[in-house]
Order: sequence, then structure tokens, then C-alpha cells
Amino acid sequence: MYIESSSAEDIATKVTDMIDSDSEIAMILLGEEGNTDVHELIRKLNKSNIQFFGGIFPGLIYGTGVHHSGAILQKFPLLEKPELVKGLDDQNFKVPDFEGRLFEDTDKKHTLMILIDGMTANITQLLHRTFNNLGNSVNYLGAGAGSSHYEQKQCIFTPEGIFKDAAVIVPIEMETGLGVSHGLEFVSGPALVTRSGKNAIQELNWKNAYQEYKGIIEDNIGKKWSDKEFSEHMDDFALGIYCKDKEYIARVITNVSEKGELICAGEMPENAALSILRSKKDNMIAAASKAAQEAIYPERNARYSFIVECVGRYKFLGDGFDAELDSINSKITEDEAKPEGVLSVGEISSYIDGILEFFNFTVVVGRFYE
Amino acid sequence: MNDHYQEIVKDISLLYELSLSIGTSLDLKENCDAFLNKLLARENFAFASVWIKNKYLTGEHNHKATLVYANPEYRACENTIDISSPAFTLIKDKEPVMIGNEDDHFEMLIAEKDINKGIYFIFPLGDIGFLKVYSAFEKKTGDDIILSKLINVVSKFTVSVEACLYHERALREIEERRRIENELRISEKRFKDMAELLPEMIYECDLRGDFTYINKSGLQMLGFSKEDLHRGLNISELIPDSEKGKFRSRFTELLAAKELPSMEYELLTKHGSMISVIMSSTVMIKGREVTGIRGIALDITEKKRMQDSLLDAKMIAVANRARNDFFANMSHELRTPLNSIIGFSNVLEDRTYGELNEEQARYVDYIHSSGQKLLELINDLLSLSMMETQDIEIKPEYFDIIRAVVEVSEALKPLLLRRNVHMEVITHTEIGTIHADRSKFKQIVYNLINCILNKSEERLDMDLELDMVSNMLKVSIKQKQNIFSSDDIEKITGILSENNKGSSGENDALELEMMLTKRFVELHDGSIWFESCGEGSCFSFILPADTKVENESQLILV
Repeated sequence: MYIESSSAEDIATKVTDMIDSDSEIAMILLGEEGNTDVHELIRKLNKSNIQFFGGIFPGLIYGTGVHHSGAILQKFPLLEKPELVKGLDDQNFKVPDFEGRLFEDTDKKHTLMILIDGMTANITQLLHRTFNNLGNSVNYLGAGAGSSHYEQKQCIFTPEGIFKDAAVIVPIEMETGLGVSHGLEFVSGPALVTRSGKNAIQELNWKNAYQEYKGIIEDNIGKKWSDKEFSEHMDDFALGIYCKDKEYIARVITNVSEKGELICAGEMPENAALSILRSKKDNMIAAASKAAQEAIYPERNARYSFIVECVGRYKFLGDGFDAELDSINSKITEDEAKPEGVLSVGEISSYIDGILEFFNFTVVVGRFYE
Repeated sequence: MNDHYQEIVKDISLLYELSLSIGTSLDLKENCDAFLNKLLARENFAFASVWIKNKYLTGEHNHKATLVYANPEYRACENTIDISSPAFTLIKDKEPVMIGNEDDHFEMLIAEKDINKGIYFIFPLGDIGFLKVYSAFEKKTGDDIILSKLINVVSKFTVSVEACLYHERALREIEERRRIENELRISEKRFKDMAELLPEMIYECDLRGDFTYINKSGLQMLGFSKEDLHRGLNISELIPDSEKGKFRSRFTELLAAKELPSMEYELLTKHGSMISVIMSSTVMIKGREVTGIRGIALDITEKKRMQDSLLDAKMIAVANRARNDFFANMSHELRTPLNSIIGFSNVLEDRTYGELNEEQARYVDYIHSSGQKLLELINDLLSLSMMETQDIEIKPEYFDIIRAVVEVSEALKPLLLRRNVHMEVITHTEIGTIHADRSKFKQIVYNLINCILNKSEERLDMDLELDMVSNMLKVSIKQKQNIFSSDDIEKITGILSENNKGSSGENDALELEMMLTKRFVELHDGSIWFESCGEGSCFSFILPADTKVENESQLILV
């Protein structure tokens, strides 16, 4: 459900009313502009002894509408105790070792919901190590929390508090159908990441990353831009990592440092051969529809759909974003409830029988089945 | 760019990325992770594993292979397979194979969770093992190009895995060497600690004779300090000139024979004194080279001194025995004629064979009394001799004390009368029996009275007092004249004191008597003392009324 109020008290009251038993957990997604007093919210929920997890996002999706304040509230049957992973800025963070019920019911593929600080380092490491432990025994669905301006803030909360450089991983006793797509088109490539560190590309093709990136795009469109002009068009482009038989894994550039480093949402490994991708509104909207279609389990009614839309898509599509949401909604009309979701700083999903990935500029649709 | 060239560029990009991800670490898991993570992500594979034959992994020739890497680990089920298993037989020609779920071998290759369809790609890693990659997608035409596309990059990966294995082996060997070195250090420390605790000298020296180690006892024995050792100390500094020849030849013999029986040497200490040692040495060998000598030296200086002392003592004992034999023989030889002299002079004194004139009577009396004194002296000498050889035996019995005292008094009666001595026996308490050597008891009393009589020609009043105090018999012999000179008093007090343990060498009759008396008292666990107070003096001794004798043999003092 979506509530317009951003007041901690109102949210806490709704959450308390929503939760029926100890085996349920509340998911609380807050719009960044609501400035909810999260500490107060945590205090109130802890007082009511409610199990919960949540994050602060650039925007909230409810049906076909986008909100930047208020809260999306949802409850899930909890399979196991959620795990909070802190200190992701340090490579020696501890990966939770899930056991027991996750593997008990082999006929059912449960869901691991992951909310993560989208601006932290080592996101891919966490996902890789988690996938290494659990493999395809579960489906993964998640979103990068944070700000629409790509500023790192405390954005992940649990009964333990609110954190940055953190993730919360919640095993949910429901199956999920997943669809992942972005609809970006190949423009040029390869561009080789010849020097990088964590999220920053320092060199592309052995040259200053920004200058080279700008040059490749200018060559491709046949125009020369000033830095100012280029910054206005940067959202039209993204970097793509090749993955056979699938769309490129997209990485958006969230910032350019003074030294000309391209700062990405997500790690950028050295020696990666990147492609330059370009956004086209129609393709993107079609991709969203495709993702929604992929998430449908034939002949089964989903209880609920969850949409993770990259905030970059929202910015790029502008008014066209309504059309993207419409295209998703049109595919999942038979759901018991309206689809809900977030505008995210990075999207998380596993492919069917494939690996777990952290995407940018992507839409992930997850459909929850009992 | 048309699609065809775009595909080629994609492949080149893939191979570029894969090639540069190989050999990023010498850690086997990290190396596999860097390469296979990328391969799985780019080629959309669902699982990869690396199997290495145990003979390359652990050195075990057991025809098994071990799973060294799996991604994701979640899927891995088996950790060990036989090298005759299908995965190995399929690549026996060292060529990669692709097995789809419709192929006969597919089922036999499954060693992972949740796999029932898809494709296995198996790449040989030289002879050391294989790389197994799984795609969850159905096999389709043209998939086998993956084998050709990846064969060269997997070949490079093989080299990197081999390098990791060599590195791991080297690390294991280094670790093992470190462990052994550490154990050696611990062992060496243990032995050095023990060596430091040993009372003997433990040493090591190089072939030049420079000491490289001497334990604490060794340094103490030689008078050197650790600093002296650190400054440099050569074995030749310890060898006196007289021993150098012997030492040099032994050193040469030792180097040839590696080990020699112990031998005694004289060594010079830092301070110039000589010590005697028994040295046992062996050679130190490193590899095949003799590097020095180590050994143990036992200081026998004190032992040798004691041996010498023992020899002296033995000689003294022999001399004493000869003297005692002499005394015994002489006593017998002297007493026989002396008894004749005393007996016949007694007969003459008794006028058995006629009257004597006054002068004859006086001479006979001299002969008799001198003979008597000489006999007493001989008896004392004999007793003292026996005492010194500690061969005096006491034979305790129960006897009446008063009666024994009366018997002594009776024996002395002629002398007491002649000397005009009045002796009174006084009892302070009821005096009964005592368990002691009757003869020795009588002799103690006799000697003390005799000692007084011999010191005075004057009339004397003497009291012999008997008292029983706390089951101890106290006997005191008192007289009230000043008959003892200061020398006598000092002499008697000295002899009877507790610290006096025996003869000082030259003794007169008084001393012999006192020493004998004291010994008799002590043999009864009693004590004796002498008091002089200007006018008069008193001999006192106490004896336990019931001498504790557990068995007869204990009465013979050894």
C-alpha cells in the first residue's frame, strides 16, 4: 500500500495495523523528499515489537504514479531472520551464511529481497559472494537505495538503526517471477577499461576516461559538444558490459570527477571491454513491457508485483515515464493489488538459471506468488 | 559495422577480458575466481568447477582428483572423483568436449545440485585435471564453437593453474621448512636449557678449537664468563703445556674415529688453577663435513682430592690398628710380669715369708704401689685404645645401685683407710635398680673417686650422693678441700665438656681416666660434669635409670 503521509507516527501506525503475525515482516520504502524521521519510526516500531526493514529511495511507484514522499508499505511471510550487512565500504565485510529453511522446501524457489546502499562500494562482491553460497536455490530481487542526486546518505534501516554502506537481506517465503530489461541500444565499442578503482573509471583505451568517453560519443553522433552541453546529454548514454544471449549489463555514469574519472553506480572492473549504449524512449518502454511479461508465471495469479525502476530511466524518460509504467501495468492487470515499487540507484535481480547481477538504467519486475 | 563483425568484436573483447583475468593471483582460488567469474558472467554459464588430480595437488598417487574450485559453491556436491570417471575418459585425447543432456554421458557427468538439462563443456587442463562449465540452456547448433573459441584461453588458464599449484607446493614446502626449523629451534632450545641445567660442562667448538658454546656449569668450572666466550675462547687456552701433546693426538684421533672413549685431562682455569676432568667428545657433522667437536666434561678435582684423603685415612686406620695391636700385645706382655710384681710384693707386704725391716717394708710398699699405678695406667691405655677404635661394648643389666656403690667403696677401702679418707654415701630419695652396664658404672664411680684420691695426700672428707630425678640417677662425688690446681680444673673441665670428642694426642693418666669415664657415661646416654668453687669440688654424672636398648647390636658402637 502507499500512504501519502511521511510522518513517522502515521507510518508506524499503518505498519502496526498491517502486520498480523510474528511470522510476517514489514517492508517500508520511503520517498526521499518526505524527510521521514526514520529514527523515530524505528523507535516506534521497535516499541511495538514489529519486524521490519526498509530504505529511502529517490521515488516511490504505486500503480502508474510516482511519488517522492510518503511510503510504500508491504508485508511478506518471513522465511528466516533478516540479515543486516554493514561496512560494505571495506572489502572484509561479513557475508551472511543462510542455512536451514531456505533449502528445506526444494519444490519451491523462495525469494531473497535485498535493499542496499546504491552508492556504496563492493555491491558486486556482496552479490557474488551471496550467490556463491545460495546459487540458484532462491530468486533474488532488490534495489539500490539512495538519493536522486547520487549523494551517499544513510538510507537502509532495520530495527538496529539506519545506515549507509549497508544492505539488508530478507528471505521471503514466496516465489517470484522475474523480468529484467533496459532497452538500451549499442552505439559503439569496445572501449577498454584500462585503469579503474572500485566505482571509478580512470582510463578508457589508455586515455583519460572522460575525454575518451566524450570523444567516442561525439564521433558516433557526429557533433562536438562543450563540457556543459555534454553534461546535459550524458543521461542519454550508458556503458554496457557484454553478456551472451542477454542485454548488456548497463552502468550509468553518476558523476565526473575533476580528474576526469567516470564515477559509475556499481563497480567497474579493470580490463572490462565496454560498449557505449544509447537510450531511446520507445525501446525503453518496450523493454519495460518485456520485463513485466517475463515475470509472469503462466496460469498463476500473483499476489503482488514489485517494480524496481532506475532513477536514471525516470529522469531520461521524463513525461514518458508514465507510458513505461502503463506498459508494465498493462501486463499485470490480474494481480490482487496494484503494483508497487521504487525509483532506485541500481537494480538487483538474478537471471533464471543465471547469475545474480547489479544493474543500472534497468527495470526489474518481480511478481510474488504464494 | 555489420552484425558479423560486431560478433567478432564481441568475441575479441571477451577473449581480451578473459585473457587479462588469467594469472591475476598465485592463489589458486583467487586465480580461478578472476577468470571463471568473468567467463560465467560473459558467457551466461550457470556453473564452473576445476578438478585437479591429487598427484599434482597433494602428491598422493591415489588415482583421485579433488574439486579445488566451484562457482557457485552452492551447486557442488562431490569433492573427490576417480580419474577413471567419465569426465576424465571423455578428455583422454586432451581435446575439450561438449555434452548436452540428450547425450548418453550427460547423466554420468552430473556431480552438482539441481542439474537435469543443459550442456556440460569439459576442457582438459593439460594432464593436471579439467575445467567443467555448465550452461543451463538447451544445446543448439553452433554451440560447439565455444570449445574452439575458449580452447586457447583455457590453455593459458592451465598454465596459470599450474603456476598456482607450484606456488602452493612451494608455500607448503616453505611452511614445512619453517615448521621443521621451528621444531629444531624448540628442540635446540630444549637441549640448551637442559644443558644449562646440567652440573657437567657441555661444550662445542669448531675445528680451530674456538669454543662456540659452553654451558653455565662449564663456564663456572673454568672461571670464565659469557663475555669471555663471546670475545673468543680457544680450547688451547685451557690446556697446560704438559697436556698439549696428549690433547693434540686425541683431537686428531677423534676427527678420524668420530667418537672416542672418555679420558682424563688436567685443564687450566681462567685464574690459573688446575682442575681434573673426564672428557667425552664426539664430532659435529653438517652434511658430510665435520664442522667441530662437542662433548661433556666432568670435573673430578674434588673426587680425586677425596680419593687422596680416603687413601690417607686408610693409612691412618692401618697405623691405628697397628698401634692398638701394639697396645694390646704390650698390655698383655706388661701385665703378666706386672701382676707378678704386684702379687709378690703383696706377699712380701703380708710378711708371709718373714718379717721385713722398716726400709725393706718401705721399698716393698713403693714396689707394690708403683706396680699398682702402672697396672692402672696400662688398663686405661688399653681402654682408651679400645675407645678410639670405637670397640667398646656395653652390656646392660638390672642391678642394685647401692650395692654397686658399696662394692666400689669396698674395693677402695684399703686405699681410703691408708689415705685417711672418710667417704659417706648419702641417698636423697629411694634408690633402687638401674638398667646399665654394671661393670662400667662401677668403673665410672671408681675413676672419679680415684681421681680425687690421686690429687691429695691429705685427709679428706668425701660425700657420695645418690638421687633419682625424673627417672634419672644422679651421682655426685664431693669433697671440700682445694685439691685441684687451676691447670687440673681447666684440663678436667675441658675433657668433660660436650665439645670434647676425643684424645688430643699426648695424655697423662688423669686425662686418660677422665676421657674414659666420660665415654662410659655417654655410652649410657648420660652426661657428666665437674664443678669447682674455690673450696671444694664436685664430680656429677647422670644416667637414665632405664637405658633404652632396642637390640643388643646397637650397644656396639660403630
